[in-house]
Amino acid sequence: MEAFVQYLINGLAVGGVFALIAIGYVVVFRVVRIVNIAQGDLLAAATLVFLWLMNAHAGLPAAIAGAVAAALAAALFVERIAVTTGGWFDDLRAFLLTLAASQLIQGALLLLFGTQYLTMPASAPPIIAIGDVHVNGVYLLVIAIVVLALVGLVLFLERTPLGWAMLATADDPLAARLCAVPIRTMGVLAFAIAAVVAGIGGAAYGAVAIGSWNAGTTLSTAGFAAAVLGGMKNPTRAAIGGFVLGILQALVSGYAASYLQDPLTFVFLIVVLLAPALARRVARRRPRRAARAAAVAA
Amino acid sequence: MTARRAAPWWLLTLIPAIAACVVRAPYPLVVLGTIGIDAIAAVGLAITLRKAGQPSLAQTTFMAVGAYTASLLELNAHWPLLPAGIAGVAAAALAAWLFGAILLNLEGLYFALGTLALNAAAVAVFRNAGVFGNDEGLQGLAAFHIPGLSSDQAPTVVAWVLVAAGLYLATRLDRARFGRGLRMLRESAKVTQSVGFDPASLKRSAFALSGAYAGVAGVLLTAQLSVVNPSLFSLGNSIALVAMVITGGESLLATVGGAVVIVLVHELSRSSLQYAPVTLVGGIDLIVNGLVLVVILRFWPQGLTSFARRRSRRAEAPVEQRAVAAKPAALPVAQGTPMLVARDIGHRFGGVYAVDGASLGVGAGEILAVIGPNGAGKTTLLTILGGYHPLQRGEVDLAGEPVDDVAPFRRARRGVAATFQHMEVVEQMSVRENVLAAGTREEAVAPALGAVGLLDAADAYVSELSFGQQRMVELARVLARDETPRVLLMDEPASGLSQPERAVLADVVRAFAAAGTAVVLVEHDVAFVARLADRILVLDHGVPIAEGVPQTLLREQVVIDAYLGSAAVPA
Amino acid sequence: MSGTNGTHAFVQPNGGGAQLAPAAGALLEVDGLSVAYGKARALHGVSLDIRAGEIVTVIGPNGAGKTTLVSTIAGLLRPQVGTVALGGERIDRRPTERVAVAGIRLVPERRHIFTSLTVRQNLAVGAFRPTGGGAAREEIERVFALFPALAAKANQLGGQLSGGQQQMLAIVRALVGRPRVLMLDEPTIGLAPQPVAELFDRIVALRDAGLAVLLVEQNVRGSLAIADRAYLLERGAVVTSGTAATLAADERVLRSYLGVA
Repeated sequence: MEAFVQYLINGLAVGGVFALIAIGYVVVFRVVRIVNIAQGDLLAAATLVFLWLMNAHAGLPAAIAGAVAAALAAALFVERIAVTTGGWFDDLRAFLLTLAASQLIQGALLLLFGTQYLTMPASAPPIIAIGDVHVNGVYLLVIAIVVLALVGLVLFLERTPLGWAMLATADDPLAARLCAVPIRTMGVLAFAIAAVVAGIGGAAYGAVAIGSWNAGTTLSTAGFAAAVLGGMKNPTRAAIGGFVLGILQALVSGYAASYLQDPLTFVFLIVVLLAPALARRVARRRPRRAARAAAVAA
Repeated sequence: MTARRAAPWWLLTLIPAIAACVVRAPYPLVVLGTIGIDAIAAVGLAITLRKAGQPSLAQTTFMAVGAYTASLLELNAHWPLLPAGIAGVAAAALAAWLFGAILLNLEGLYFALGTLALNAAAVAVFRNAGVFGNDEGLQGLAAFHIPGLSSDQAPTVVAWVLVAAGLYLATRLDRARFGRGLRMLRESAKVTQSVGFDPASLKRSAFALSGAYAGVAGVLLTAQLSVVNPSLFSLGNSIALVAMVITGGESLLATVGGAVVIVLVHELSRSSLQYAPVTLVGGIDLIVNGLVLVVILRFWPQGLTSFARRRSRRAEAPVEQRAVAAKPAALPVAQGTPMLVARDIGHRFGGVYAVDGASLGVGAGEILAVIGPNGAGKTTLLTILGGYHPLQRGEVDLAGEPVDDVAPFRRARRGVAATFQHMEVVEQMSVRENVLAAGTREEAVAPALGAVGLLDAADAYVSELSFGQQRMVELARVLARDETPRVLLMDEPASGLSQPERAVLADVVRAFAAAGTAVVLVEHDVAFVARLADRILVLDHGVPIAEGVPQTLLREQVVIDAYLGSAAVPA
Repeated sequence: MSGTNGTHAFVQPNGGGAQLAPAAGALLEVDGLSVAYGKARALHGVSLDIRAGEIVTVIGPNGAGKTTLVSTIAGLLRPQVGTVALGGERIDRRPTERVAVAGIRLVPERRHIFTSLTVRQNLAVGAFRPTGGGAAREEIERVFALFPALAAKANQLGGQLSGGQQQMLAIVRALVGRPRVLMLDEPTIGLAPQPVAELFDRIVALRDAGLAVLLVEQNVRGSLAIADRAYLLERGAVVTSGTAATLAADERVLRSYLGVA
């Protein structure tokens, strides 16, 4: 039982990180219609900077600020690469460009930080008891942070005029332009939001896992799988997808083998992507004409 | 007119094979061999990416399937290289077919991300499932033994011979109907269906073919290195393959050139960092990968193909009919036999009914025009008749047989031809190829082009023609079909055409009717239709409001009211 | 050369490419506009103008280029040839966002309201100022006072409104931006007769309040009944123009739509 709860908490914490990545995808995709495959690398960069600063004893606030700054720098870099003055590239080119940006960021991280894994400086983590299960307090903090970030984002989007302008751009870019909304700026803002979210997520991830230069790819894929659950449109559903995937991964990793996490993500992605289409095809099956005619005659 | 044969440029790839027989130094041979192997994988990827429009990041995964299958057979079952290699290729193609069947249901970007996830999953499995040797992989694999060639020369020569073979095969397929179908698929799934191709089947075949090429590359890799380990099949390498295809541009031969460029760039950066620490080399490798993609995609999207001269003949003469004109062969059906009957068609988009209770019937040899003010639902109705929208309500019969849920490509094979409102000709193909894509015989092309006045422009690229001429290409495609269509659906065929072009259009439509085709035309140009149609159906707000012959119908008050609107008197 | 009601007398040759004598005090002047979509020519040398406090309607069969015309004025399309000037200032090379700020608002065909935002949020976006500015809320209250039916639905999602209400919302959203010229592209599509009548009432009220309204419509009779002046567009060129009354009696209009006399 204790093992199960541990897996659950662990899964929620990692899932929270997936949730943050997924939210980043959704915000950027809705406004700019680009799938930013480098989203996970933004987070990896933030994690590395966070852990590096923590190990240099810079203190928690500075480390978090550094994480966010790193993510922002990386995000704006991606935006510069994938978006052009004439407007946004078609889907395929933009996707390949974000892929290229991902490689560039990974290369930079490898050069800056080497192949060593970074972890939190050794110190006794706060243990919190739930019933007779002992849980690492840091995990709970991470979960709390994720929920806060999500709530903050939703509030921003739904309560502030700037948020409305972004939602409007996502809803109908043509109409937004006609209302004098500068949609290009909204695009940059979307990237910035995705970056802040990735920065916070990076710090959280560093607290519960490790920092390495190549973590970005797995994170990106998992985050994308979660985002797809929300139809690439709904941040709340995407966040839920992240938590679910995180828990599933923790369970698989704990009870089976840890290397099955990536195959699990693949299966999860396929199921999430194909299930709605399958359901629609089943629902749409119309009764045969003979049956309908018989029903009419009856 | 005979088809023009392109020069066999692919023969150029035999030059490195010959060179490898002569050169002895190991390092250049290995690099040359690597280029050849990557070229095979890249050409395979190009088939899916360039021709079918599906970006796959899993090409290295299928290389891995080929490589590991061959390796395991060699090590555990002691198979010699050749049968093990063939088994590897077959395994890779099969894997591609299976995963393709799942993944190809996804559109563009989602497909790419699906392949990305597949790649990550596969690498995880290959690295961790014991049977594959974990991170060290498998060693002691069979190599080529060719008398007279050293152990470095043999794999390189074989690789380049296979590059030549692979290019030849791909070029032949490209020229065949399959290749044309793929190119149409990239531009428009709708048009692909309208000439009778099953898009899903095309995509799966293309993907399986790419997988086979990847399998060949994977097997060659094991023979060259005598080892196989997961790091050879990483995401970075998949991305490098994509970069090769993109650097190459449109032509498959240029993709080989792309392989040359990318591998050389990587080698250059690696060799200049020979004594640098591993992380530096690795980091630079990644940066090179990303940089090449960015540079090509942003500054040089045409790739190496921009150097190729495009053979084209300017279409100078205005559209005019020629003596060699096609007349559609007469259909063995009595004039007036009901061909297309639709009952009570209804279609909703969200909460709004675009079509609400429309019924129509067209007989063989009849021309029915559907007109109505903007937003009346005319195009929606036509799209439903063609099968491009699923039928929500109502029934559609083709020559007496129900076709309610029949896919567009199957309707096409049963004799339904369609032309569309938005340009659906393939810009990157020549006029002749666009027409041939309809699956026609070579001999049918010239008369069809003659009938629409484009005989002189047969070899011009469609992108060079005027708007009206591009429309004519669409018409020629229908004219050149092997069998005269039983039903012809046309969505605003006259829009954007000049007066003489409209005359040609009218003649062609009449020719079809004379041969027994049932024609349904949606049009905005009421005057044009009034002279051409036998009957007119008027739609307003998705509902038919009048039907009759042009002479009387257009004077009916209800029709005039529909078009001019009601006078809303301000309070 | 001016008549009553702010109408103008024009030189009226037959056929397209009519050179109109520039009307005194025109707020929006379009001169010799030619636009092509890739290969297809959509507009040939179209000229028109409109003053404050008048309704000008552009009619013509489908495919005539009406939407292309207003889209170009709004900055969504770049003309190959020709100019667009607002209050004497050239705006034809400006991006859409700047044209909207300059005082021309387009209500596009099929409304394009933000279906996932509430009515109030829709209006807030309409009042969006790139440089910030807090006058938005007052602006919204002001229009709510003028359109109580909309105010009653302030917190409903745009997607839940009826067709007529959505059209009203789209227009009001344009109005909160305090435009000088309001362009409406086929606002009556898909509307039943009652909302159409209300819509035309509103447009007249706006005109009376001093707004310049450019109305593109397929509903010929309805638009000619409320307009001051009209232009008939066919195949991308102005075929004829004049006072609404003149065009209403012109059989060319009937022929243009139905091809019969």
